[in-house]
Amino acid sequence: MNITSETINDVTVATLNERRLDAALAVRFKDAMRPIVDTAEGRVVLDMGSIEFMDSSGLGAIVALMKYLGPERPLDLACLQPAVDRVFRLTRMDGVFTIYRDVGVATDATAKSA
Amino acid sequence: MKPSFEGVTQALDKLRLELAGQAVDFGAMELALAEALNNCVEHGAETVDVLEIALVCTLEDHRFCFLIRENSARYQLPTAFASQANSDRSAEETLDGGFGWHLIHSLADQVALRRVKGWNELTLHFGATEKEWKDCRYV
Repeated sequence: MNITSETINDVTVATLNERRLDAALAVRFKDAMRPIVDTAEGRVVLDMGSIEFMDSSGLGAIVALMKYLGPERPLDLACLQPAVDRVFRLTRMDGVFTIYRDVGVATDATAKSA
Repeated sequence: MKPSFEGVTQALDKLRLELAGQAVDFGAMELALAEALNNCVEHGAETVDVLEIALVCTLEDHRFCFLIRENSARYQLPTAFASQANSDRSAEETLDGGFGWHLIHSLADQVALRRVKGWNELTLHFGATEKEWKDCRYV
């Protein structure tokens, strides 16, 4: 699982450099994100711009990550492709996460999680 | 098809190539099929020594009928979904599982399950009328 990270305006941005986030990769996603989020002090934004396909296992891994981070370190999402956005909408999880159209908006100094 | 999550991905990649050029929302079908097949892999292997899964696609006038036939233990189609449960939960209480069947029912026009001679046969239909659903052919 290829994930890169950087800090922008005190926000930890984790970029998924994969085409899929599914049952075959969900565990590896969680394992790869652990060292990244363990050093995050505030908001975390997951850049999913490369993800073309996500299933419920991928969604579950993201939810598990959100719960691991806790309320003090909100997990937001950015750059969702239409197929991925559909999964969040159908499961009503678009009401649980703050979703930004791009990383720039997500890391804007005035941006706040809902 | 080898019953593993990676096998599911390979099968769906092959299906995508087979259906290339068809005027259909393959993304919706792919997601529903992934959920159903992953469910077989995750839960079916617990109930049999050797899990066998067959995926059959019938296409007629851009309407699709998918049959997933596998030899795991009998199961029932769930009627309650995590998405409904999560609507009144806080972020911390949000369920991180159980979305699969909700997605299947949301994406497919028809979902049916039957047990035939020790095999589960899950059928997902996309874009069909009621009559076409009843006339769905298997190959």
